[in-house]
Amino acid sequence: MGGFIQEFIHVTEITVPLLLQGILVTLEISVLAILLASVVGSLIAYLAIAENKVCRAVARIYIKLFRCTPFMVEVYLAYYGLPMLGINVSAFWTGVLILGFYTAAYVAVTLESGIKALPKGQAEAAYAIGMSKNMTLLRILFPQTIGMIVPALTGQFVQTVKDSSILSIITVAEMTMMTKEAIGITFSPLIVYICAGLFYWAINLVIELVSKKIEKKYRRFSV
Amino acid sequence: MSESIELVVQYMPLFIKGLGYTILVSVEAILIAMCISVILTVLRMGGDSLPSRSIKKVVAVYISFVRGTPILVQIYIIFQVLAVLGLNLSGFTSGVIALSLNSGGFMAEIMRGGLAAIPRGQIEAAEAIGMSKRKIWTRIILPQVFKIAAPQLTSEFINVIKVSPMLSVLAVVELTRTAERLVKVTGQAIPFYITIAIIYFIVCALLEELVKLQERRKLTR
Amino acid sequence: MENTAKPVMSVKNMSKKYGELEVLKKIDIDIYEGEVISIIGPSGSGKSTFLRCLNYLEHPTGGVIRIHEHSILGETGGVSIRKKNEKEAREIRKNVGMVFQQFNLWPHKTVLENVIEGPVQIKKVKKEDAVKNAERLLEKVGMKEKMNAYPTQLSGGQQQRVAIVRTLAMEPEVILFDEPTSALDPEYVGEVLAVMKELAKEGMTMVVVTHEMGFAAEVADRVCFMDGGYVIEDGTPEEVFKNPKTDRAKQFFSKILNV
Repeated sequence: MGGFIQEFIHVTEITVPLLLQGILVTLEISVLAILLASVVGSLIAYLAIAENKVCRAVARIYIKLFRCTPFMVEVYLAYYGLPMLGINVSAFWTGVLILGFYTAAYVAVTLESGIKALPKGQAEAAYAIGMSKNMTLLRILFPQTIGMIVPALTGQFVQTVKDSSILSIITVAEMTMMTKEAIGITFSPLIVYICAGLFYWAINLVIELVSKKIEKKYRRFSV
Repeated sequence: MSESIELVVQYMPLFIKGLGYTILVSVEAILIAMCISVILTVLRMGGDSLPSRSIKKVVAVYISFVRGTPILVQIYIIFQVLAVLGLNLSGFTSGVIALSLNSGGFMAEIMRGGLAAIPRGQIEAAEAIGMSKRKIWTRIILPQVFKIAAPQLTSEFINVIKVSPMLSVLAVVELTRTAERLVKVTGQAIPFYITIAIIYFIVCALLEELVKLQERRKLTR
Repeated sequence: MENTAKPVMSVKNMSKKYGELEVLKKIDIDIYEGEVISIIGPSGSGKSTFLRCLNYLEHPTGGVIRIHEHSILGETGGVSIRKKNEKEAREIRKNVGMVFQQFNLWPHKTVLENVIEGPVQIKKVKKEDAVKNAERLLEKVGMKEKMNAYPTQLSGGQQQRVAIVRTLAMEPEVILFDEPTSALDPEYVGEVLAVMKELAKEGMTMVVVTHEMGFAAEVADRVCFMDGGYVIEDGTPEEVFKNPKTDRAKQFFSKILNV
């Protein structure tokens, strides 16, 4: 037992600094991806409730494509596909792009259902003073989802941090990738993985805590 | 283009086999997960005595960990734990165990929602006619919870299918691992990954239709 | 009121079907300037649907609605008519205001922002002018102090008074009221009715769907009784309440009076 504790201390001494390095990359990727996702996701949500049938179809297809295929397969497709399209970026940015566009589909669904859940009278009151559908969407309905977008995004953030672990398969040096390095040095996979698990857990507990605070703050906007 | 298609067609039997494994792990995992979620749910329903409070704490920590860490890391941990325990299990079995432990946590949360939808009066009515606790669970509560939560449970099945590619890290030759291997052998990547993307898409899109059907049925009932 | 003048709004032969179900049948009503029309009748008689057709929140399936040179035609599924109706409706809505049962104030905007939204965005009024006008109108209904509050901070009665001001700010020729007091707690009904009476006195043209028989009797120039999608009584309050021509109306009033 004493031997195990000694080994444990030895392994964590090597592992923790490596994982901390990885955490920074994990957080960096997740933040960039969530920013990209909020822009793209808002756009898709806007298309999804637009009047134009073609716009709606584009949004539906986008959402369906990203939600009905495994993220890991999407990562592979981006990794091999982007260079073929003439987009030569580092593994890091490939990761940001695919994670962002993937997450955008989920953000879009949240926003869309949020808008659809607004009372019908909200739009009717705008129509009744002569607003067009587009104007109603932009000035009346969309701003009301701002109150939802922040909690939705922080909630989504937990998922995005977890999803980013898959980017290790394309050699992005985020936390899960760094476990491989740590194992290479320590030959003690179980302890390393447990450390990584605890780190992810800690990050996500903090995010959840913050998101609950934010949600409370934005509740004032709800009808 | 036509070369790529030929290549894919040539290896189609392998893809079908891979899909078979994907479905097999997913179905096994979801069934075990269902049992785990029922156990977790029952454990969580205990009273205010000290033991049941500690049990509730443990369950809460378990669910929080499962939801708060990447499934990929969970798969690695489970695989290593099983190895350290000296159980000589295949990648397939370890994978199924990891997926079901994960999904069980998520399903327990779904069940909590379903449970909240059952009026307290129903349980009281069952108690009033003298039903035992176990009978109340098996005859009154669970059947309703499964009915109420049916769409979300199907969605969870879709989720399991979508995370099953991660078992390729344990060398389980499911659909994604099949593609990875073919990429190594042929040096071509895109045709194979597009193929499996399409296959996953069809399976998941069909299941999503089922979710919609279940939701509609719930509304009309 | 004898009317030789042209009506502000005229409805000819309007009908509305949902699939096979016909909820409005051959409605003919002319609305004259300064007139207050109360529309009453049992629930499900089509009152609200009728009102909502007037500004095209519901799409009529037959007949025609005219205001000035604009008109909404009954739709029988033709896309071309719908496109034209939508365009006409936007113009009509600038002249026809609406007050809703559920107020429908926009929760992300303050009271003042709710009121100036239409004038600034639709009528392109300068913001200072819109604010000045809004303050004057809010003052009139006793809501000026709450100008910078958000709707969720107000009582139902206060919200409805703001909603009326939001409509007034567009300077409409006609205001449609869709059961404006039905969603209010009883203690707030009075303050909203008072504002409406004041408007009537000032000569605003109003069409009011209501369950408040007192208001209809006291304030309205004309009462229309609807049942089963038809307007079956149309006259002065005196005529309709005291001497209804139809048995259906007699029954309805006797029930209400017996409560």
